[in-house]
Amino acid sequence: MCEAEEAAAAVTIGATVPTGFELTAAAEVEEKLGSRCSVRRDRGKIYFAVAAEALAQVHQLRSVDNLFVVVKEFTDYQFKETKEESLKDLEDLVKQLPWTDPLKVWKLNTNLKKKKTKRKKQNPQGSASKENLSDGEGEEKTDTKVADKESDDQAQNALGLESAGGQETQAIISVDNGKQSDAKDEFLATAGSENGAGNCKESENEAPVLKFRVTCNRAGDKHNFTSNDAARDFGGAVQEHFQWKADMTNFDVEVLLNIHNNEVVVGIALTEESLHRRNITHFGPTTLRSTLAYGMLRLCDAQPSDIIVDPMCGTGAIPIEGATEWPNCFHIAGDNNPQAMKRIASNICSLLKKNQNQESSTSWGVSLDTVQWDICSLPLRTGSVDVIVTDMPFGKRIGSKKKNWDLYPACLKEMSRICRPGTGRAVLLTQDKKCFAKALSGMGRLWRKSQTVWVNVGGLHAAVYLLKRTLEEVGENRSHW
Amino acid sequence: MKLLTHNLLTSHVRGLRPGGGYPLGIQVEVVEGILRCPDSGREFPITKGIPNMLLAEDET
Repeated sequence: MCEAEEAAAAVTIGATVPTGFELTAAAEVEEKLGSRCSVRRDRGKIYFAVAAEALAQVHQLRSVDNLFVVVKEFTDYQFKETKEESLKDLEDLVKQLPWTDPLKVWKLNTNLKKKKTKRKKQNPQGSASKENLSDGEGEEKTDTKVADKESDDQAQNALGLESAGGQETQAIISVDNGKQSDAKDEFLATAGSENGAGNCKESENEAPVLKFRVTCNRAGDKHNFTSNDAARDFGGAVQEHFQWKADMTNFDVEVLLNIHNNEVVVGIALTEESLHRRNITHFGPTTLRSTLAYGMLRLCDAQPSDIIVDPMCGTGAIPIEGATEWPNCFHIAGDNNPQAMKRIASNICSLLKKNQNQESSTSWGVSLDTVQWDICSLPLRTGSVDVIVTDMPFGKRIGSKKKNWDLYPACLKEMSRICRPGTGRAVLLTQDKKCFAKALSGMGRLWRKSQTVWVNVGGLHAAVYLLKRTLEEVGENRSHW
Repeated sequence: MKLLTHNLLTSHVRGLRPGGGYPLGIQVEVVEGILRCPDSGREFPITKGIPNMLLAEDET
């Protein structure tokens, strides 16, 4: 294939997204890339085809955590009766798989990342979002040091640092059916055959041997092997086939083996750190993933000039994502906690610095402001806010379930006051669904529940509620205009 | 703090007349400043551009 044809050739990409927001992510892909997606509902994965040359744009998607190129997908893989036979089958599979094109894409992707590293300073791209990938690669020394460390920690320990999704399938550790083992038992170079001289099939004239690792995620009741087994044996066969060197930490190629009942997908990872920490440099105890924040913001259908408030913003994940992706709306972040104030101020500073580094921008300001306030008594004029988007205290790391019984009704009351009747809406994330339902039940005249999205946050089953504000006005005892 | 935010902020001190507490008067010196409730005279400080609108127990 000549270069032009290669660039235009379609490649199938898989993306992991926050569970529950698959359709939102699919909508973003369709909007920005023009590709229809195949969605694996509630599994946090979507698949779509793009031209190889569109790879850079794929990295700019705001709703995806991780990307991989699909080597092959089996929709109804028949596993054998015994463990030995099943594993042997997987091993034999390796040499039959169409590795060539996906590896070309992997190579393209690696070059893409290198180019971004070099071009960062003269990068003429206008929008802040395009810088985010390079941030994730740790080029900006001061700002992203923390970000890198955090995402490394999160990747290494799927048992939940900050708000790492417990079921994120980008866990490095092989995951069995939701149960998590801490043993980093992917394929290790224990086979001993150190092969320094060999070249992998795809490298043209590279002397250094490619290093690889296999990550296996397995879910289903009927398998007679574990993800560890599969990762180990599949990895062995990969090593045999390509003569690559296995390395769990310093790998070039990460091979993904995803098994869900009878669906098997083999892929090659295109992102090494999850993209979801992109906006945040200073974390708090419950910082929300940017991808989840993006999903929530999309739900509210923000219109240009809308006033969007997060009255319990914490470190500001939601308003910062909002100001970045919806710059023609005005975002206000508020919290009562002085630590949170410090953190969000730092995060905004980092964002401003990033914006200023890009040339051509005369307006590098951010459509975002911060106020310290008490959610139960908001210093905002009645009916002055179009959208409220917030992550309510779950009562686990912040506050308590007991406090929620008083807090939730008070929150909803104030939110109904500041929210514009008729057109206003609220998108609220909470794990304390019982408390929320009770608080909402007394407010049927003011709020109508429009949609519920079930999500997984840090291993907890949470829900995102989309509420619409009714036309009914709130009784006046405060200022109005 | 941006002008648009100032446009939305109102004083929520107890006992104000209806429609009172708005707009908050601004006193600025460099980066630090003050928002003043036009009816009660209560001052809300602005530190590093962030207004602190928290009320004390006895004020709400």
